[in-house]
Amino acid sequence: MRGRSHEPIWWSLFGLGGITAALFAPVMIFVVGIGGAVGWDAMTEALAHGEDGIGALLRHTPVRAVLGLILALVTVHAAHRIRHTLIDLHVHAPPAVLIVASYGAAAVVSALIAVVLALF
Amino acid sequence: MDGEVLTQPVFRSLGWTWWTKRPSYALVFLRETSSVFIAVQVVLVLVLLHKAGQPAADYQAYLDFLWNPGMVVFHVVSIAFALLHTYTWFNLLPQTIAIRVMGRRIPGLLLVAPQFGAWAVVTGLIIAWVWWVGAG
Amino acid sequence: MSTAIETTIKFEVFRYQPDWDEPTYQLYDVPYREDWVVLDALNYIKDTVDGTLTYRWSCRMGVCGSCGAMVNGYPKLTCAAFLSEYMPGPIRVEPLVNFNVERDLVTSIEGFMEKLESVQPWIIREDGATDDLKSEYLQTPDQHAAYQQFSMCINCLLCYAACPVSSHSDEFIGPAALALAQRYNLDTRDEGVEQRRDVILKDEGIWECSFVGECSAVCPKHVDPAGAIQQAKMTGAIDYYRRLLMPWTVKS
Ligand code: SF4
Ligand code: FES
Repeated sequence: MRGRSHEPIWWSLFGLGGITAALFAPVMIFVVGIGGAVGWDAMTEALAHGEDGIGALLRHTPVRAVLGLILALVTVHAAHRIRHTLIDLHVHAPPAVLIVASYGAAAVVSALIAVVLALF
Repeated sequence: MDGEVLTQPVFRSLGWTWWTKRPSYALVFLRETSSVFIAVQVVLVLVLLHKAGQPAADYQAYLDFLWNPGMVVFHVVSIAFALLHTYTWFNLLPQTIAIRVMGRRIPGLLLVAPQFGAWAVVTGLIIAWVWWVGAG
Repeated sequence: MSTAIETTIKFEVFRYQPDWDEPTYQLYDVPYREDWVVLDALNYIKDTVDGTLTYRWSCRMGVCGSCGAMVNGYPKLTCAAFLSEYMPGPIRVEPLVNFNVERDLVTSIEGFMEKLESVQPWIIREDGATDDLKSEYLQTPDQHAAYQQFSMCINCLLCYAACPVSSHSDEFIGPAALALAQRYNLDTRDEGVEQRRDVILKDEGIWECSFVGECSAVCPKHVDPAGAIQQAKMTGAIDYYRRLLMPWTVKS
């Protein structure tokens, strides 16, 4: 067991988040940031405030649960990748610092997502 | 001399600028950079979800910010990075998963194509659902 | 006919001798021959211009793996790099990066040899019967095919020179040695998976790899070390969770 790495935890979450991001990130960015902005009326309506807009999209608990899971996995995925990219850019920080900073930030964002969706 | 070793080697590293040195490296670097754009987009969605529970004016102010032309440019760049992630992620799967049937590795396409199929279905369904809610 | 002006190609060759303070680049004009490779040009320089130029080579046919160098910044077997690909030149030849340079194009491979040995790249038998030459261990063609690609490595180390992780981590076991570890782990005659596990599953084993994948792009033998490492990560992750969640299934 000497020197056994716990990287499998991060790597497997990175993998799950990676496939999730691959499937959902483009369409998420489109729906939230582009569709409504470029004047596609139905998209604008769907994101409008209140019960007929974004409230209708998120009314059902399973939808919010799945959305929360997707966002959290994608966040951990991004954190893992940013951490390894920094290392490959020869950023000389102690490994533990990078681990706490990257996955810590991902945990905070994921927790906020959970709270916001739970209180919705 | 006398069998004495004089060697004082110099170490030459590929260096931290490796990603500038070849197009293939640059593409990998862009692939990794996609994570930064995706992370920012997650935070934008988080704020959106938070604002959705606030008074209509607050929410609308955030939408106005999210949909101003400068931000739309940022979203378009983000979507390009996200698509690069999708494309590279699907294409690299066969290197990670070596499935052998009757002693032969199954062709990479058999692993790659279904992922693109799933992507198209997921994307189509979500847009249709949002459209249906918005139009309905 | 003899009046035709001979085409030449300019070479900028990295020079360093142990008693020098600084490396430098030396320029040479080499006659261009269509069928020449960079190694031929180096031999020409050494034989007719500058006998002090030092580099390794042996087979001249992409088998021994000793002639690797950076050719215009790209790790290459110099015996497989045709001058015609680089015309009109110049061609810059440097030692493989991510290694200590001992003299001119000669790098130190000591570190690599240690890493290679650490993964025990030989068939290990639990019954210790490897020196019992009377035994036969049969293997079907399918079983052979499972590791064959990873066994093609000629230890040329081009993959290390292409690897951004090797550029910052001395300890990283690196593409070729990890591919060879995987080669033996996949061999049905081998029973050494447990013995290799501790070395491979460290951070400096497979987990430092960030899958840049350039090792596989430069490999002259199509070993795909990046794929070998990814597959080892998959096995390693499954192994990790199995130990965590079902410790009773793991033999100590
Ligand atoms: S894996 Fe390929 S590039 Fe690396 S040492 Fe072996 S033959 Fe050379
Ligand atoms: S001289 Fe043997 S591989 Fe080039």
